[in-house]
Amino acid sequence: MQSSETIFVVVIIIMIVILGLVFYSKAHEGSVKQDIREQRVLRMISLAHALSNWPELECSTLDARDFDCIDRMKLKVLSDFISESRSESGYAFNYYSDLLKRSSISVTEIYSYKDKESWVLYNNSIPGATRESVFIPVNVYDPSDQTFSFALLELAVYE
Amino acid sequence: MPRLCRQKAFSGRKGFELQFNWLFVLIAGGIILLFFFAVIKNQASGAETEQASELQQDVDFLFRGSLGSRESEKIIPVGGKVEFFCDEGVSTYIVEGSKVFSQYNYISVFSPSILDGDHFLLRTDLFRAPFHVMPFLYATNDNVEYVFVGNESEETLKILFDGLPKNSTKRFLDPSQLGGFKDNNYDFTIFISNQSTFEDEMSDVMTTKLASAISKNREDRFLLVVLRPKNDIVDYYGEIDFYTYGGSGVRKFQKAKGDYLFFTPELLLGAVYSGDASIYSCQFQKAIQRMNLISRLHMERIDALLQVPKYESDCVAEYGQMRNVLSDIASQTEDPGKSMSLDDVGDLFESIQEAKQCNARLLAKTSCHPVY
Repeated sequence: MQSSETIFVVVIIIMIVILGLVFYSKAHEGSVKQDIREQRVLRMISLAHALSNWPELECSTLDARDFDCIDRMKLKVLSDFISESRSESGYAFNYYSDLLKRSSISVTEIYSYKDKESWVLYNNSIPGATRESVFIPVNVYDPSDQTFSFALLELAVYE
Repeated sequence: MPRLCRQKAFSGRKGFELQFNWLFVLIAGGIILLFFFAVIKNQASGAETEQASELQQDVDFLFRGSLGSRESEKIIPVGGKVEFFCDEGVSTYIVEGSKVFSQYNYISVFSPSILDGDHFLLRTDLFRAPFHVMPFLYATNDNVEYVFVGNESEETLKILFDGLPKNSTKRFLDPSQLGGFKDNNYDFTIFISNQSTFEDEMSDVMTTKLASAISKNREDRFLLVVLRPKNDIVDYYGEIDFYTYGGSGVRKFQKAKGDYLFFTPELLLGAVYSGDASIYSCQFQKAIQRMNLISRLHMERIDALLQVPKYESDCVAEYGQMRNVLSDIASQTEDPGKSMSLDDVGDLFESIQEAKQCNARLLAKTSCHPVY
């Protein structure tokens, strides 16, 4: 009888410990998800920061640089260049895949005296995946007629 | 309890039950305690791995964040030891305590092979050739000593000395004082010398005068970088020799195999920061690959510009010439795996200068738009 009671007590203690572990793991899972989201947002911010200084896109006149300015000719050229690099699977493909990973980059003009255009520079999205996006206002400079328009660069990161 | 009562209590079936009860309690209690000890030990080692992993993520964020930086100099608190490797073109680093290597194959980081301390000294500079190619990240800390063998009047050494962070451990050392050199127990001591000082003073001096200062168990911490720019001009092209001290029982500096070249001051500065032949070689290859990519992009942009009907014939002629120069740069940088000779680097340098002049001519004509 006494040993039955002891066994019963030990079983109860083990059940309480197991319940405690289950609650702890549930709480920890929430904080891990929060950490993963923070890391995703940080990656997005650092990528957005890198894009704003990309030689592939920036306007420049010798060493003088216009901040948050994108060259319209480079926009036209870059999306074709990246698409071609994906089919070649060479250094360029590896470079853009490593830098941009699962993301999409597009530029959409929102104020222009000409017809508004939009460009999709890179698209490696995952349908149904968690998406974080950021919009960066930029100037788009057309070197052919030396005019500016206003656009939004959208960077979306998928996970 | 009287002896007879104790005997009665522990005898028979009831007595057996009592003993079994205590045995059971002891075993079950021991198992529960062991379980908790195992959980605590697991948590402790998990916390160490988590800390190392967080530091590794911080370093990764630092490197990727540098892609968006312009010229800057920062002190970053990083508590831990980071080791850098470059093997067969693959650049990796690992933080002490972490179980996983991280790759950085598309970011150029010039640093010694080990950085151990509570902070990094970081400098970002743009690599131009002549257009913006990529940012170079230079990393060091004050546990790495840079000794410039010569004096401040030597222009090449002075420019590189000023290129190191203000808080770094750096000094000039007159060659005549090499005999009095003392090992201050830094993680690395990197000597930097130009060719003439090396030939006059150091090649034999280093064999004897430094041997007494360097203990055998610290030989791998002493490095030497000999700069050989053509015509002794930093903003030119040339060769770099990397030396390590000791090895194979020999008490002198031994030259690293291979040819190490530069064609911009940023690359030369990178050689000084790292002092390591394999790390420099990897970053050099990355720079070449990226130059190839950007030059091809600029060529395609010129093709797009030439389709605009408004440009006059002299603009068109200049764009055509610029395209040819960019095509030369692209072909000269096409195969980074191929070992470049000094003449190849000289040709690349000349192409870069020609591109600079071409772009300046385009800029001078108000109707033409410069290429970069």
